[in-house]
Amino acid sequence: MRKIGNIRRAVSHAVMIAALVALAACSNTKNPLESGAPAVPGSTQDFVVNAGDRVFFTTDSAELTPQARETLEKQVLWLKKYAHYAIRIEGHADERGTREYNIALGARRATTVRNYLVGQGIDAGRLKTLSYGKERPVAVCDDISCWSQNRRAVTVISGQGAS
Amino acid sequence: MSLGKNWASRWLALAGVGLLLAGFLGAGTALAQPFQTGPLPPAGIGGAQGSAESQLLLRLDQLESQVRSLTGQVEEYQHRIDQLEGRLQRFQEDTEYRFQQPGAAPPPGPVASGAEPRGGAPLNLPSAEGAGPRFATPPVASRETESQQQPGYGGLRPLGAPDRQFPPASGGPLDISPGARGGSGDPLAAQPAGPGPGPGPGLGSSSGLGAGSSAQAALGNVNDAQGAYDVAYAFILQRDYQSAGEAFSEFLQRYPGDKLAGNAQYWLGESHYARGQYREAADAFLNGYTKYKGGGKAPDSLLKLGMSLQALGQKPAACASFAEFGKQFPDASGTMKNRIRAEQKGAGC
Amino acid sequence: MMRIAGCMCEFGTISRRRAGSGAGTGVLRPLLAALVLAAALVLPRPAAALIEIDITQGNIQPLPIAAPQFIGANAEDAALGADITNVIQGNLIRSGLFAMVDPRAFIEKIDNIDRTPRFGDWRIINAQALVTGQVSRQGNGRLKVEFRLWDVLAGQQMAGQQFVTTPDNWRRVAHVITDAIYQRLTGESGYFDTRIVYIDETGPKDQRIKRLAIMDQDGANRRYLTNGTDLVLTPRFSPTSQEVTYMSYGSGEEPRVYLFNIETGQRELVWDHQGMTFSPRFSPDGQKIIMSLQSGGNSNIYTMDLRSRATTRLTNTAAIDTAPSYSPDGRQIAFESDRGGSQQIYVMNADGSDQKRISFGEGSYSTPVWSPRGDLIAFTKRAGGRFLIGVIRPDGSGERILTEGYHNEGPTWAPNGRVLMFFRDVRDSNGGPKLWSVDLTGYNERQIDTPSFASDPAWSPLIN
Repeated sequence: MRKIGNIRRAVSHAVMIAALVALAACSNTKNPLESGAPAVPGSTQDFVVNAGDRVFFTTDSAELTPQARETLEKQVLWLKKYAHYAIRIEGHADERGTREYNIALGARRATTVRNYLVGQGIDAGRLKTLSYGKERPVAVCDDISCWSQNRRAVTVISGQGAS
Repeated sequence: MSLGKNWASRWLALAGVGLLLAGFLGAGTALAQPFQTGPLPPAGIGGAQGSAESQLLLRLDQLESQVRSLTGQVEEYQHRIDQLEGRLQRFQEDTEYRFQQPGAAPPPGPVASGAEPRGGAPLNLPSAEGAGPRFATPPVASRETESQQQPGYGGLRPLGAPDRQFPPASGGPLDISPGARGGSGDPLAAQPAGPGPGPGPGLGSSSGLGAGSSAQAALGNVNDAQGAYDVAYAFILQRDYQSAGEAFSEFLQRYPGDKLAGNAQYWLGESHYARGQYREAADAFLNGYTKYKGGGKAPDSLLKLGMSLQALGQKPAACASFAEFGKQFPDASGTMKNRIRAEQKGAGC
Repeated sequence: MMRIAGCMCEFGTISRRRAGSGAGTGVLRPLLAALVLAAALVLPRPAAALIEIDITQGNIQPLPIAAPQFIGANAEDAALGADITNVIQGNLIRSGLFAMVDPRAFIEKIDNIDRTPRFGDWRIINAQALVTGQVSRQGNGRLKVEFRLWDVLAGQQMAGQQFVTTPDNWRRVAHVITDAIYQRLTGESGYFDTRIVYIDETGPKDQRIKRLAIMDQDGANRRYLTNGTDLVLTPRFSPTSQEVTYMSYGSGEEPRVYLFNIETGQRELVWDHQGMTFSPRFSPDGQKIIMSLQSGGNSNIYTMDLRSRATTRLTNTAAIDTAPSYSPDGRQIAFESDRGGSQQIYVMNADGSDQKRISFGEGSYSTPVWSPRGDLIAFTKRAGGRFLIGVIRPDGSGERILTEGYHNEGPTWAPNGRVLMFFRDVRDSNGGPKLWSVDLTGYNERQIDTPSFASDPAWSPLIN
């Protein structure tokens, strides 16, 4: 039993690492995150690593958790500092829901994050939202730890600022 | 820019919903609690200069989420109320009906209308209702008398219902045959509900009072479904089963989708059963059971379906119906379950 | 009520028949059987009894039917005759209502379909119905296909028809013939001459490529309508089956609802509006598209008149209202909403008035789809971490679950309202969804063969 537990843990660690890699890949970086290399301040890698590009939600919910607010605070500071980036917020849902509802739920999550960022002084003109529902899972597996990583809103930044 | 307008309109909408909810739930219920929660904790964690507008937006998100969960509770309470209302109506009808059944369990004492008929019972000849179709003639007589005794009630007839001269025709000869085919020579088999030990005492003349008044009460709004239903049901209370059958048939034609349709279908079956028209009764009960499966009368319909089939001598089908009952209504009341067991035993399933 | 359609009880071996129109439900099986028996004893028998099948009863023996290869005057026609027979047999078997009698048992060799078969030869091998047919060519090269359906026990013909068409249309002829057989034996219209539009899925789960695909109901004649560049979802047929409405993502753009003409391949944006549009379906008259429009965190239901392009808002809540589905008469709309905190099914009038929740069971309910018969609404239900497909009456009564598992979603009705198709996914990160069908009894469940993963099926109306 204990052995199985250890293996499970090891597997879920592997998943976390895979998720981190995938996460970097997801963020539209021109230069994918190289392991070990320090992120250049102001780069998309810097945003992902030092601000955190995503927040997670509980099942069927779009409410921000305290950790999510903390992440978004860091995003706000970073995005204010590097104001030339355009921002797209992608809302996602886990696979344990029906397709159309999940698309709407992803939109609700993205909107919550957008409203928060605008409220903290980010120019609304820089922001767009998009929902993928359950169509773009970041973690591909079939257990709860995985589903929770898919219930997310990802802040994606790209070079051309709004102004 | 448009943000302000956006939240303002949402806020208005929300306020409206809030008022509605508060109105529905009434003040002081536990449900109203969420509205009394304090202001949101400040959104910014480390001294953010969040604008008031954004805080309002976030607060709005939260309130909307709360309204959703309250709405869900309201919907569920409403649903439960609907169900309880339905159950209450059925209970009321059953109680009224059973008071008038010859073999029914004695109603709790103080109910006058219940006591009177039973007092009068022995005096009446084996009339009417229970064995109606079998003895086509006497009921006619007693019927006429009855309606003459109640001119007020007779006045209700113009509701469009056809002449109630009781042509034994439609019922009589035809209906005897299924009973005969069923091979049951026991007149009790023709009785509606609880098979009593004695010959079905005719309760005709004495039960008029309550029924008459309830029919009258219904007169006022005959145009709507409830009114039509009440009128039809009043015939049942009066044990005027032919009129009841016609009235319920008409009700079902006019209001097939009404929430009372399931009940009407059941009483249509009862009206046939009481007249010994077991085949028509079986048809009606089967229809009531299949068409209104989710309805409150479904268990009763199934029980009566089995009884009708048994009366037709269709023992395997009757037993199948009783067996089906256990499968379909595992949560049925103890009374119903006992009833089924008794019927199964009686039929030798 | 209890309309006992012609009694066929003389045939002791045929345990099934049709017992009334819409009344029968799966749970009623034993009871109805008993009742029909009872009624059979009481009611007078019609003189000529014919085989009929009660398709509301799925758990009993399929009807044994023999279908020798359709004959042809030359090798080419005979080969086509064999192909047509195979398609008919496949259809009949998949319906779950028929068992094909093994051709090796056949005694009589059918060589002329205009001569009455020797019924004794078919009775002795327990065939209860017999299908015979013939393929020939007309002077202009067109194909002529004739068939006859025989009641073996009664010794009489039940149906006979002929079709003339171009040779490449032979599969459709086979489906039309199956529909005729099915209709004659069950009393319900068939569903074989129909098509399925669905989403073909390839590639790993986090990078799925999704293409719009269309195929015959039996999986033949598959075509891909989009090339996989854009993510496409939730296609639905128009009432004429000529067009499909679906949602599609451009690159990095909010998804939008499109119209696609199957014949011309032309694509058209339905509503150029800020905010995503999704969950599109046609109205029963084909004049409108009903869909959801997202605005902020909420989504509401709108219709767009395809001619005037006028839009009408039908719901207005701080919630997600989506998955609309018209009743077949176009007077009501079922949809799902989380206005009560979790997804539930609601019904409203077509103008948006009188919105009423109808689902009150345990768990959440979504993707309501109104049956073409109007009597039931199919749904996806989530309860206890499982996903179920079920049906409920429009008034909220009579909920019944037809299948359940790790993930079942998105039912669509066969045009006769007796069979549902849906997609089923598995708990396996390398796996993916496949299409399945189940009939209303819940007994006859089958996977539809597709070359890759498949989801979001939508069943066409009968093509004719």
